[in-house]
Amino acid sequence: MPIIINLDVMLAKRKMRSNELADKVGITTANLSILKTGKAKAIRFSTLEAICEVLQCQPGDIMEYVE
Amino acid sequence: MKNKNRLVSRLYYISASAFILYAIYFISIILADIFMNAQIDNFTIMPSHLTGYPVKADLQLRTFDSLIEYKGSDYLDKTSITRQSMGSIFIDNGKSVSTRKDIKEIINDTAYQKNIIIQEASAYAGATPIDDNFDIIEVASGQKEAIILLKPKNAYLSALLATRSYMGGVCILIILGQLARLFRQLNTTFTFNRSIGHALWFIGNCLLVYQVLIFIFSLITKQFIENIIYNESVPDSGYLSRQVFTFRIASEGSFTVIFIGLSLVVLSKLLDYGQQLQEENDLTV
Repeated sequence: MPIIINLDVMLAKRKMRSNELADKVGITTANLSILKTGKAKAIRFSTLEAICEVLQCQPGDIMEYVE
Repeated sequence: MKNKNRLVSRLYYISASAFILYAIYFISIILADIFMNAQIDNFTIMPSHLTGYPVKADLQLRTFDSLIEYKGSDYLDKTSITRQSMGSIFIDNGKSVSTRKDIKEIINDTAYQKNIIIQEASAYAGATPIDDNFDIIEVASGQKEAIILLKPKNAYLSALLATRSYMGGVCILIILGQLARLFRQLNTTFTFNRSIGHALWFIGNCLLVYQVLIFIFSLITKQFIENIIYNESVPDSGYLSRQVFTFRIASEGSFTVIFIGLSLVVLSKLLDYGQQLQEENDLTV
């Protein structure tokens, strides 16, 4: 898939664990896992907003387009 | 079954129960036919080459209340056949006015030379005749459906009828299997699922293929046999035999079943699309 999710990088920078992020964002760890592994087909703006708020980053920091 | 909607759950249990009851009924009639030699709803799995292959035919029926041939002074040597109505007949005596005579007068009058066939119809409620409750009970002439049994000597026709005969049972078994799979799947998860769409697609195509095949088979059957005619005649009367029953081999196939098959195929495509949307929704974070 051309869009790569670099959530692990941001989690490492913020020294946060996945289940902690999922809990703060308000999604299940299973859904967060889907996002991290690149299996997600879509992401809601509300979820993206919550992730960026928790990780204190921009959307471009966690998503990258590669050809 | 996991579903929050009570109505949906109840409808599921009602249809699943109806399906189980029908499956039990279907198995019962097979067992009754095998072990008790008792046919229910005329269903038998006896080899049709022994019992005869059932073929659908249109029945044309023409009956007469009475058939009277007589020669008498009122009759002028002319044969007349009339309908009996309320116990009397009309005599065509060659004059402008027809004479109405009570049939009992003719039966009892020795001056007439006569051969009489009277087909009587009497209606009963149990053992009680109910003719008083009706004015005239007549046999409707026209086309009705009938099933005739054929035992052909032609090997090709036998093979064709055997294939057609057992194809129906195979089709029913396939559909029952797919329905069982469908209900099992719905019991596990009441969401859009690839197997649900596939089951409906299979049932729909099975119905379509079956209807097309039996239509083709009936057309081929008509090349071998088309009509069966029963005649009635009055012995020693000089009458030509009269055609009473005609069985005309019918073209089989039901537009209703074809419509149901097409609807199921379309519905399966809709469910496939629903399954794609479901999958996309499941993978939306």
